[in-house]
Amino acid sequence: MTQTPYQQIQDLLPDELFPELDPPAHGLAGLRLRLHPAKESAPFSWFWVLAMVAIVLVWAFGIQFARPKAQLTFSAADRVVLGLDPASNEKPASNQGQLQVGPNYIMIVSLQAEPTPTSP
Amino acid sequence: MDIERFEALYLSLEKPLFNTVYRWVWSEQEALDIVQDAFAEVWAVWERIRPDQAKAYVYRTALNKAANHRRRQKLWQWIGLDAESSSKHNPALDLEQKKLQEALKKALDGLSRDHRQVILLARFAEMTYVEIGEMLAIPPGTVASRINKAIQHLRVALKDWQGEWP
Repeated sequence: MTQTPYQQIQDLLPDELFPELDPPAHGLAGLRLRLHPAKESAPFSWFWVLAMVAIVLVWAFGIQFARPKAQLTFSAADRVVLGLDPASNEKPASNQGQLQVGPNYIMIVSLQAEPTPTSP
Repeated sequence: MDIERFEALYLSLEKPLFNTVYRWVWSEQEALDIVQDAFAEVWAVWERIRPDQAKAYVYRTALNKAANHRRRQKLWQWIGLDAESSSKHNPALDLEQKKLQEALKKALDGLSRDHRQVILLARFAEMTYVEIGEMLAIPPGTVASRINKAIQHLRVALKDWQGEWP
C-alpha cells in the first residue's frame, strides 16, 4: 500500500490532455494580502482621512477670510422701514431695528451713535 | 518564525493543490481563490494544529471548498445564471484530442465526490494510498477500492473512445 497509484491513473488521464499547470505568479502575494489586509491598507485610509480634514479646514478658513465685508447704505426708504422719519434727523426709539432684505429675510440692525469728535 | 514555515508550506503545496482543485472547478481564478481561502483558514488555526497535520488539513479544506463551489456552480447552471466553465485547451492538440479531452472532463465530472477525490489526489497531487487515506481519514484499502471503482466508471463513460484511450 506504499506504492503510488499515480502511474495507473496517469495512463488514463495522460499529460498531453491534462498537462501540469503553473498557478498564477501572484499567488503568495495574494495570500499575504488576505492574511494581513488591515496592515496593508491602514496607512492609506488614515492618510486620506487626514487629507480630507485638511482640505475642509483650508476651505472653511478660505471662505471666512475671502468673503467681502458687507457694506450697508441706508436710504430714505430704509429709514421708513426702521420707523424713522426720512426727512428728519430724529434718533430711533431703540438702538435696534429690522430691515427687510429681499422677500424672505429680515436683518436685525443695531444702530450705534457716531463718536463725537473730541476737541483738540 | 511561524509565518515563514506557513509560507514555505504554501510554496510547496501551491502547485499540486492548484492542479487538483483546478480539475474540480475548471477555472484558474476560482482554483487559485479556493487554494488561498483554504490557506487563510489554516492560518487562522495554525497555532492549534500539529505541523505534521498541516498538509492534510490544507488539502481537506481545499477539497471541501472545491466540492461546495462545484455544487453551487451546478445550481447556477441549472437555473441558467452561469455559463459552464471550460477547461484550458492545449493549443498543440488536434480536434480529436480536444474532443477526447472534453469527454474525459465530462467523465471526471460524472464521478461521485468520493471517487473524484481519490482520483484527483492520486493523479495530480501524486499521493500514495496511505497518504490519501490519512488525508480523508479512511483505510488505504478503501482508497484502493475507490480508485478501482473510479477507473471502471471512467472506462465505461469513455467506451466510445476505445483505441484512442488506454
